[in-house]
Amino acid sequence: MLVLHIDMDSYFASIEQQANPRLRGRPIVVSGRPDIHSVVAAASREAKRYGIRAGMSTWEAKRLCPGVTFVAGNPDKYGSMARRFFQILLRYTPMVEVFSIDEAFLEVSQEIGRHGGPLALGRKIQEEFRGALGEWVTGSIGIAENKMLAKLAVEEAKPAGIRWFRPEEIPGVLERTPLEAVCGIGPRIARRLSHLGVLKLADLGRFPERVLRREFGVYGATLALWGRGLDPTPFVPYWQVEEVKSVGHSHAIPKALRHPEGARSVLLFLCEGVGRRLRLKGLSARVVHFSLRDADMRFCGGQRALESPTDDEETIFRAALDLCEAHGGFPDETTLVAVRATSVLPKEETVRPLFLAERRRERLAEAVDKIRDRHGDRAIWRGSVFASCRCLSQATGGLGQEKKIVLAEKASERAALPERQASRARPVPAARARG
Amino acid sequence: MGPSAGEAVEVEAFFSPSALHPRPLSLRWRGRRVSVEKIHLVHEAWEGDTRFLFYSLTAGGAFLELRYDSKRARWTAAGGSQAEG
Repeated sequence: MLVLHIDMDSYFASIEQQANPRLRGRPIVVSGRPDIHSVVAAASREAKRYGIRAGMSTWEAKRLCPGVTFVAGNPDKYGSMARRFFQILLRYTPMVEVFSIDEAFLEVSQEIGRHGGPLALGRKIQEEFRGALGEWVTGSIGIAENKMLAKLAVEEAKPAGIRWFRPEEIPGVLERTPLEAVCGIGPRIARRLSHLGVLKLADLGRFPERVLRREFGVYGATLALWGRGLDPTPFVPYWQVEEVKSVGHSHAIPKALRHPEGARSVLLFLCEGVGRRLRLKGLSARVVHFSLRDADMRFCGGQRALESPTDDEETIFRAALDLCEAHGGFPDETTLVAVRATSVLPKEETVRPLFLAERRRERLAEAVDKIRDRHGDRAIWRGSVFASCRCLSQATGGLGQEKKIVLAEKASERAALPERQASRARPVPAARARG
Repeated sequence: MGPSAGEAVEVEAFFSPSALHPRPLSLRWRGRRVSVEKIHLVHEAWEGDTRFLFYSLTAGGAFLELRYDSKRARWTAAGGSQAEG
């Protein structure tokens, strides 16, 4: 097997620089609304030189580089460009695994002969990116025998380069690679391993597998394989539909809405989103999860099984609200709320509502969905959500929605869509949300 | 001074069946006509069943953003113009 890992360089920031020549060559940060506290979603190469990294708060970025320019994120722009680059990749092979909005794996064992080898293939892809996406949007390419090694290779290729780990180089790579560099080994696992004297990937390979299994369970076996440069993770091409396990939304609450009534409105806003997505996918959920974060950054929440599976936002909202009440209600200051519907099953396998009020609500939801399909999600609002959450959608118009970006509906989701909508869905894979 | 955000703009554009999107060639607003020098980026966005195309371009030495409503075939300025340089 030969795998190419494509990783776009400073993706959101490069796209903003491509769109606006005035931003080129300058340290810029893509974030939420620049005038409120937010986090860095992406930093340009110039900003990275000042130590600015994704995930950092905007005030910290400003401290590191007072001259940095903040640009509000635009998910439509990034999704649109991602579709374009995934379409380029699909010209080379149908074996494309979408890892995130700006990363993909290609399995090219069959194709490299036709393109003059892996390096030549990588150069062709980069050339096509330049033509279709613009001179400022570049991608780095890592090449290796499996996904884990290809992802390590791409780090050595950045920015805009190509790095191929040939089989004879692998022992050296394992000797020099720290554990945290591997996607799948987090800081906590790395710390636990360091206590066992395991610091590099090669150390992991030499470590007795039975001890790893005893310490980490099944995951220990995966660690042992990674330590030998092997990757048990399957290659999942975009057309292999993954089963939907849950549908959820969370939202950091802007200062103006952190009071109990505001947090309640945000919760209703999120439940509306969960209900709509369940209906789009033709699913119903049995279990509702709710959590909130208070001003001291403490989380609390719980889960509740419903009497019958539902896709009704009001039922989900009531269940979430009950869970909240069971934990003492909303605190004076709530900084984040989250709701998730799990134990999903196809709607056609569930019992139709018996009571008139429930049936009415179902018909109302269908009507609202039709209006939104035709005129957009912001064409119709609940009064209470409109009153408070208008500012919410503006405040996070960029980045709160980043996680929701779907490049094209999965086959199951597409089947549930009205024909008109399905026909406009692009033949490209769904992006997995990062982080 | 370019068009302000939301202002209607007359656009001479080239529609090719093989291209992903129409290509603006020149713009006219308030009786002034400028040629499009460079299109930096085009992206699309959907609102319900309406497809909007957003153009980031340089015309008459200024950077501006245009929005094309493909349902109504209307062009408007999406963002205020900024002088380049």
